[in-house]
Amino acid sequence: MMRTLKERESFTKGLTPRQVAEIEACTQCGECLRYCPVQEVTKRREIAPASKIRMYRDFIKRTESLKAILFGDEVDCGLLEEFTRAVFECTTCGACGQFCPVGIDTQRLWPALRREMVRRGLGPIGPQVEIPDNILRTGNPYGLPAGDRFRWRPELSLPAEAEFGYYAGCTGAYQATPMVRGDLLVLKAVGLEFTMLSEEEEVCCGFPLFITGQHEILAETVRKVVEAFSLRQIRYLVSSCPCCVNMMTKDWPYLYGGPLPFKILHISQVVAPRLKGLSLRHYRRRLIYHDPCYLSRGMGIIQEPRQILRAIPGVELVEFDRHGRESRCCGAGGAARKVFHENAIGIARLSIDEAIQKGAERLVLSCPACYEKVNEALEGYDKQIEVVDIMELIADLIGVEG
Amino acid sequence: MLLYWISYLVGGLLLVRTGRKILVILRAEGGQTSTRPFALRPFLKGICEVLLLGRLFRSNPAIWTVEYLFHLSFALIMVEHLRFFLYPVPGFVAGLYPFRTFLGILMVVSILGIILLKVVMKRVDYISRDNLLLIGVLLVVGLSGLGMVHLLKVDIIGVKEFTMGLVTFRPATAPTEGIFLLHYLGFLIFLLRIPTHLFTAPVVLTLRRMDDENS
Ligand code: HEM
Ligand code: SF4
Ligand code: SF4
Repeated sequence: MMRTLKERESFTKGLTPRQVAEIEACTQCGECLRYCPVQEVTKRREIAPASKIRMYRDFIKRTESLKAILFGDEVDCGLLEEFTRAVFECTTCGACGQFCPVGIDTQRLWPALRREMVRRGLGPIGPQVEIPDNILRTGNPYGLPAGDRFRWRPELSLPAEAEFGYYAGCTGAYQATPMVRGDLLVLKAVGLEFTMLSEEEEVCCGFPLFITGQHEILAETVRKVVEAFSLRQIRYLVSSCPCCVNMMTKDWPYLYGGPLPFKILHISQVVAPRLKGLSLRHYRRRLIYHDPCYLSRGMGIIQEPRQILRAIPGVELVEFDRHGRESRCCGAGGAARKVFHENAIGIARLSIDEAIQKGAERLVLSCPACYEKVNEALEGYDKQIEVVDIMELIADLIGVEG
Repeated sequence: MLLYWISYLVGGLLLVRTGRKILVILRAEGGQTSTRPFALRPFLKGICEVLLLGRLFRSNPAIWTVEYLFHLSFALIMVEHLRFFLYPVPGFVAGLYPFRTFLGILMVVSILGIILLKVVMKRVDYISRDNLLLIGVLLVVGLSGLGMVHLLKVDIIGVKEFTMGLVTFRPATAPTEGIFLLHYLGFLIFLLRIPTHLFTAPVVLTLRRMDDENS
């Protein structure tokens, strides 16, 4: 017997009007199929963006169409479960939306639909359930001790107040430490006066809560960070994590309840205009740069990282076939990398393969989640390439003055 | 008389349904909006993108060619068909009259092109049942329309009396030619299954373009 969902809770009320229109606007043309990395490695059709939208339309039709209201109808629980798995297996990379002829902003749509499933008690899945509790206890989604947050930090004397604030972010601080260490060294080298919060004050930016659709403690978490930084009188908040920067720019204002008391900048936007102050060692290598989804597609920050890499004397920069806004996900996105491990590894290896095939000697990343996942994907793989974060690389190349 | 009642029923259903859809969209209250100040230039660029289907062109030029020709010929045929519903017939409608055979053939050929490309690109598995039905219906409507112009002539005066009766709510007699009935019933099925993307996609496209211009 087909199980059904009696309860008639609206499937559209929690979305924005634009998102409801987006669901209506999908022409089911299937252009997006060619670009979905999860579809590419799993070949499973229900993952396809068009399929997810079709399933969700069915839920709307069965709860909110005229026919449903007059004659009653029921949502198929099996389909709901299938949809939940599909929407949580997605990396939320947004490639589908980048190529969508209708311009559906899927990078924002999928998290909103995940939230709807969480509201119905169907999501999140696997270890994602522990994220809110971990953040409440330790300030980070991994549940690691708050006291360990800045153990990677080089000896630096930082002022208590400054024009710029630096936010390391949880994934960088706990899982991609060479990257955030590089950030600090480069910021110092370009002569930026900046401040940081203490280990206890710097808590999660809220992205893992947002992306897994768990919104209960979201606003309060965001408020903590915003208030701590505004006490330090900063005018600009700098971070290297694409997800943090995206979250801060797009979601912090409405979660905080008004305009932020400071501007958000990605570290490349701070470093690129100050490159003249640096003298970098000669580095005769062929590099390939991978655009993180939330930085390129999400924020449109594409030129700055390239400007920085081109400033290294001796470097040759090559590009992935899909780069800039069209970049392919590294596999780590959407808080799915721990749950759908095989997918993530499979997707990461697609980029590794292409980098090697293009003759690159180093794969330059710019996102802590990519950093962690691509390194993991290299373990036990027969093809190898050196992986480095952009600021880690620049910090390495900072020579003696003169 | 029956044809009148069916027409009004379909029309009424379309109105109520559209109203309901608009209500559902406006009622959505998800808080996540990053409001940006409105700017004219990005908005105009958005409109251009809609008119040119620019995103489809960038993604898939082959599909763009057939889809563009289809949507264009369809839109022009709709304008040309206003001659049945307006009296006197405005100049821009009458101006399209000489091109009606050309437009009809263009529409039929581009529909066939769409089907062909989808098959070649192995995309057929993904076509939804609704889309398949629509393509089939429009093909029948297009072919029967061309048939009326060139093979089985219909009493155009009778058609015009019927259509004017419809819009003035003064039912006159309805034509009985089989080919006309086929054409008209196909149109009614089209109205029942009218794809909502016709109305929502332009809005979504414009908003997205404005986002991209701003970031
Ligand atoms: C889905 C909507 C429709 C499509 C795609 C469509 C398409 C066409 C095409 C391609 C032709 C041949 C060329 C031309 O005269 O433009 C045609 C002819 C015709 N159509 Fe339609 N049509 C539609 C709706 C209607 C409606 C609502 C009516 C009126 C009740 C209508 C009545 C006619 C008549 C009477 C002809 C023959 C014109 C003549 O002999 O000069 N059509 N249609
Ligand atoms: S966001 Fe990425 S992973 Fe998710 S459906 Fe779109 S292309 Fe696939
Ligand atoms: S590309 Fe866009 S419109 Fe086409 S099927 Fe995918 S989501 Fe729908």
